[in-house]
Order: sequence, then structure tokens, then C-alpha cells
Amino acid sequence: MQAVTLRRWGWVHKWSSLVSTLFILLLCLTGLPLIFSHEIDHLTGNEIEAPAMPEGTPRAAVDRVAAEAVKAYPGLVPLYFFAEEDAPDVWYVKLDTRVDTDESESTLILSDARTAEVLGAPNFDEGFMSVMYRLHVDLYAGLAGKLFLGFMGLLLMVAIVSGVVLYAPFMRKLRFGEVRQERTARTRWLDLHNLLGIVTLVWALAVGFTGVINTWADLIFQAWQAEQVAALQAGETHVLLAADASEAPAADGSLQTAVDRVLAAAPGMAVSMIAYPGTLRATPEHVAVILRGDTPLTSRLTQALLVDPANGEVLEAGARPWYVTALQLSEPLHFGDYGGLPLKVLWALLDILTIVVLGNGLYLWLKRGATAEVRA
Amino acid sequence: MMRIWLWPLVVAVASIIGLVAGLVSEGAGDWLSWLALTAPVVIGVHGLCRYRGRSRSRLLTSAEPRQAGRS
Repeated sequence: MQAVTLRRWGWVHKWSSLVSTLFILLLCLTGLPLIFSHEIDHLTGNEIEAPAMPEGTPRAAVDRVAAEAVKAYPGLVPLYFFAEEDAPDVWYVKLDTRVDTDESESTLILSDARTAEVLGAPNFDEGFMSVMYRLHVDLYAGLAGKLFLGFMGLLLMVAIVSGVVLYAPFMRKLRFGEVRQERTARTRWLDLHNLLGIVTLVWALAVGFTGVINTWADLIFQAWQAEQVAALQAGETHVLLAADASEAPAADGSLQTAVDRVLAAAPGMAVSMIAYPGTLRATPEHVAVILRGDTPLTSRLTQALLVDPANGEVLEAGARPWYVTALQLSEPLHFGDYGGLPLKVLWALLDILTIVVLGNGLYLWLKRGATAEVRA
Repeated sequence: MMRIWLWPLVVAVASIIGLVAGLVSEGAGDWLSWLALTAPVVIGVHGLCRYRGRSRSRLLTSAEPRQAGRS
């Protein structure tokens, strides 16, 4: 590589790293406990669980779950029902003052899916884990904070790529993994920076880039909603179950019947989420029912169907666009929650190695004066 | 060129396999994913330990002549 090219890449690496380092360090440090948030909640007793009941206890209609939730939280309206794959007996219900808020002040509660009883509200807004979460996700600054952290993530991508370009010239005379001991402390730090940087490369790129995509989640859902509404208005929809189809219970305006009709139209799928009309995930007139498959991959890649609660017609407004697929694949790849506890431990170790790379990169920059003197 | 990139490439491929395997299959996929992602972790931690070991031994050897010079 020519000296000029090398200097240019060095400049790119230096500045992309310097600008983002402190924020990326913050993300790595706050991300560490977040990897284990499920386990931590479980250990600290913060996890709310549904009481044990005989298997096959019938489930309450979602309308009743919604009514009980509203009774417990007067003045609020339900926006979404979420179903967790590993907790089939509870519904997470998100409530807010209106269906079309930005949801930053929304309340999330847990309801028993069989009795419709409100089980409680997880303490997402206070305590250590909540501080970690907010510092990791939006710096307490809403969408602006998310997009800012996303930009820092993009700078990290630039730093990683330029670091890889610089790796070869620095390693010309060295064996892989060599940490020269006979030289100055700075040289040994540089060798360690190169080694740890290159081994964490793919993981850091994957987690970093999927993190950036996650910061765009709100915008992605807005775009998808706009696309669905446009498809509906243009009549470009695919009817899965006609309003007068006889193979499903007739629509009666209730949410439960609407959901049942969606399930009748999509056999083999399970409900992942129900969105009320007017929310970010639905359209102004339709309930959106987000379905998931039952394999590890299809349980992440969901299918969104729209149902008109008044006449029971089930529609699909276009297939899932590529950017929603990208977002849905980004979530597990960022969280590391798809391979049990061992994968989380590996995630944490790789995170710690990344912290070392960032820290000693910063050290190398701070000590740059020392080598300049040595060279002179 | 090959000498420089061989090991980084091996680690990168192992990482990719590790990231994808657990996502596409449960059970065997999880095991493959744990195994493959252990590669970057082990090499990284090994490098870290060696760095610390060497800097400690360096401190020990460099302390003697300095003291000798002072006396």
C-alpha cells in the first residue's frame, strides 16, 4: 500500500474511532448487563409470572383482557397485545392515553391469558436495569437519542473497516497473534489492539450494524404502515378470508373473533402481537395481527395480516418488505438471545474483548506523543 | 498476503457460522454456534493473557538493572 493511501486510511480510522469511542464504550458497558436482563429479572424477583393452572385451562377472550386492563388503568386505552413464545399464559398489554402517541410514556402490563386478571406492571422505569436500558437505547432523548447512537454505530462500522485495511501493513513482519515483548509498552498495546480487533471483527460488525438497524425501528414501522395504507387505498391487497367465508366464526365486532378469523386464514401460525386500529403497527381501520411460525427462523420472521373487526375480512397488504425482514433479523443478532445461556456468555466475552479494543485504541491515541519523540 | 490473512479468515468464517447456525436451527445449530463462536473468544483471551504475562515478566527483568544502577 502506498504511504499516502496508508496515511488516509489512518486518518479515517483515527477520527471515526475518536468521535465514537466514548459512546461505543458506553454502549458496550451498558449492553453487558442487558445481555442477561432476563436472568437478572428472574434472580432479583422482578419477573412477574402467571400462577400455575392445569394444562388446557381455557383462555379468556382478548376483549376481556383489554377490559380488565382498562379497568385497572382508567384513562388509558390498549394499543397492543404481545405474546412471548416462552410464556404462553400471559399477555403483555401496552396502554397509553391515545392509540397514536409516540409511546414513549406508555405503560406495559402483564395480564393472565386465562383469567384476564392484571398480574402487574414490570418495573421498566426504575432501577439499575432501566438506567442501563435507556443509556443503551436512547440516552433519555427519545428518537433523537436513538438516531444519534445509530450514527455513532455507523462511525464504529467505518472504524472497523478502516482498521481491517490497516491490519495488513501493520502485520507484514509479524506472525498472527504475535505480541512483541521486546519493544515499548505502546508497541505491545498496538499488537494487542490488532489481535483483538481482528478476532472480534465479524461479531462486532454484526452486533454493531444490527444495533444501527434497531435504532431505525420506529422509522421502519412508520414506513411499513404507510406502505400498507397505500396498498389498501390502491386496492392492492390479497384477501385471505372473505367477509362471508363460512369456515370461520362470523365477525361480531369483537377483537377475539377478528383474531380467530386471522388464525383460520393462516393455519400453522401463532399470534405474536395484536395491534389496535390507529397504532403504529396497524392501519386506521384494521386490526393488525402479527403471526409467527414455529421454527427458530420463522419465529423471528413474522407475517402481518390485517383484519376488519366489523366485517371479518382478512387481508394481506403486500408481502413483508425487505427492510422489515432486515429489522426482524437484526433483533436476535443484536441481543444474542437465540442460543440459550452459553450464547449469552459468549456474547458477554466478545463484548468485553471489544471494550479492551476500544480502551487500548484510546490509550494508543493518548500515548501518540511518546512515540513521536522516540522516532525523532 | 496469504500468511497475513489466513488466520483472520479462519476466525471470520467461524464467527459467521457461529452467528448463523443458532438462528437457523435449534439443538444441533445451537451447539455448532457455541463451538464456532468460542474460536474468536479463545484466541482473544489467550492473546490478552499472554500480553499480561509478558508485561509482568518484563517488569521483573527490568527492575534489577535499574536497582543495580542506583546503588
